[in-house]
Amino acid sequence: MKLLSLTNRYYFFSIVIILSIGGVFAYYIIKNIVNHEFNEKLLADKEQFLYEWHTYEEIQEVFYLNVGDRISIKELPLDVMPEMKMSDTLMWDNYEKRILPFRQLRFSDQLNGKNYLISITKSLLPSEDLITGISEIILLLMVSIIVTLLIVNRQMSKRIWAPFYETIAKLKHFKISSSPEVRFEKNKIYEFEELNNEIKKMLDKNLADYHNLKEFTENASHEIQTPLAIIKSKSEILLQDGNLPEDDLEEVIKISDAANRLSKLNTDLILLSQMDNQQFEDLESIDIVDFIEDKLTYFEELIDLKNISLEKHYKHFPQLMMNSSLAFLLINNLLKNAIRHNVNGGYLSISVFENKMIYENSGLPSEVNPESLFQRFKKGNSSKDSSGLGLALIKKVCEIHQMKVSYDVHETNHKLEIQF
Amino acid sequence: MNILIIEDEPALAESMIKYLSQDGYHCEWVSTLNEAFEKIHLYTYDCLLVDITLPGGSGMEVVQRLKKNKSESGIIIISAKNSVDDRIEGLEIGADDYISKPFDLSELNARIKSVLRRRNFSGQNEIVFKEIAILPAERSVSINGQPLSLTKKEYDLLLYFISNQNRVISKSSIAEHLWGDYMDMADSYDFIYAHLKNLRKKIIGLGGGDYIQTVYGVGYKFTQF
Repeated sequence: MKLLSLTNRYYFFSIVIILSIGGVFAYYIIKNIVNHEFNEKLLADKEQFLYEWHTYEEIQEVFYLNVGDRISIKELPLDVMPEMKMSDTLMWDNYEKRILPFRQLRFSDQLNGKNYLISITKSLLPSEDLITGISEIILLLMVSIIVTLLIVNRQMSKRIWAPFYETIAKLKHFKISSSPEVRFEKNKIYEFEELNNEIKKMLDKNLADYHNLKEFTENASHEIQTPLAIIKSKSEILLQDGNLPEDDLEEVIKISDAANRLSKLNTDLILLSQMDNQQFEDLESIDIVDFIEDKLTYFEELIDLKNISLEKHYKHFPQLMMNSSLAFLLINNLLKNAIRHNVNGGYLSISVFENKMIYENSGLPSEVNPESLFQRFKKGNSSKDSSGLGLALIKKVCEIHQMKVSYDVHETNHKLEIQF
Repeated sequence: MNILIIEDEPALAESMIKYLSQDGYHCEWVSTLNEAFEKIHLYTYDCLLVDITLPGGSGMEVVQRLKKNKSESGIIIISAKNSVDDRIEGLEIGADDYISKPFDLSELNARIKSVLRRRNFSGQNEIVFKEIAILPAERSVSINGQPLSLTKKEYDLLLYFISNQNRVISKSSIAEHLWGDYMDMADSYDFIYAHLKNLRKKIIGLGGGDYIQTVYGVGYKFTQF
């Protein structure tokens, strides 16, 4: 829900509630004022009536009252003199032809030794008319206030909230690996300025951290590769020393091989961390079948030497948007895996469909859950020298390109499927 | 042949000097950028080995300076970063080759020889080892004048051996040279043996000598002795 609709909803409800309560109050207040006014008028009428009643013989000639007022005079028994009483009653109105509310003042008076009960009745403003009137006013107020609010809010969201939406747009487009420093326009609204400042601080900090980390990984690689280069070169110098017995030469070779492995491991780990840092974002369209065919040429002789029968089933020739370095890494690792863990005289079958490719090869039965081999440094049974990063690299490349990879072993049949 | 080694790690430079000197190269070594500028200003070298990360700046600057002065020297960049960008940048600004740490000295030696051969347009382009003659430009080999037909891998192997003759070459170094990233070391040792067997058979078949010695558990040595 948009912030604006939510605030509008609150405004709407509060306006309805406040104006409704206001309407009820207005009704009672107005009614009260009207009653008070009528009471005054009735009392004034009473004074006027008594004055005329006692002064003139024929009161009809001069009697002055408002239209619609009624006066009744009744003779009372001698000993009865009721108190003055003000009350509301309902009576038939001759003009409007319906029953309407009236205000009545009753009092008693003595004239010429007789007791009379006099009542003056005034037609009241009907409360339903009052309610209708007030409701109309309130409704009119509501509509005009709500419409004004909607318009004002819309303008506000356009103008006042504009920098906020701009900030969001900038954040949406921000990518830590490729974006330059983010710049926000100067803002006159304090809250947005504060928000932008804080976001900028955070982004700058993240960018700096990211670059530091990147630099650190690269430096770490440099720092590790150089001593490894020294170990390797020194062992190679030792190999050339004709005075060393063969046993010692073998030891030297083991040192050199270990340095090789460490270096390979280092390279793979750097690669994984670079992928974690999304440093491979340049995508291009790759014809995956062409790509596989090209890489296969490098493995041909290994396939021959291991006597592996190669089957290819290319049902489709999909174009994949991939980073070319990572595509190389993926296909190379897939083929290397399928050949390295193969048995002599085994088979390798590569199938490419519209939305997946499958690598099936013979191998040794797996003792571990094949899916667990996707974890870093998890090794199967056969490979003593493998780094344990091959499948982790494959999985990472697939993740980056939103592909799904699964690994299944049935007896000696290893099946690696990649869905894209 | 004069070689300038620009490398800030003394132990590594020392190994390089030791290995290359045995092939009759005259090696000089500097460890900073300024020393390198001074040397290339004063002398001419046949080949320079340039480490990229140096105290005082990037080795790329040396390459740029050399190219600006239209130097004919061969340049091999040595980098601790096995990064594609660095490789492309290095080759674009005019380096002849790029090798990443850690490398085999035998590989470095073979690369230097290859760069020197390519640089040395006017000179003798044939590599002769006793009765074996190699024309690298044509990738052809002959024994006693008879053409020897080799597969790509066998040819690469022979050239690698002759570039590093009389040296013990480890199997891993051969594997790295032949297959690089495409193969893991341990897998390829059997394949090296198969290629060697064929190569040896072919050379002997044309009346050549058996120059490949096996150093048990270590590797091979190509030698006439």
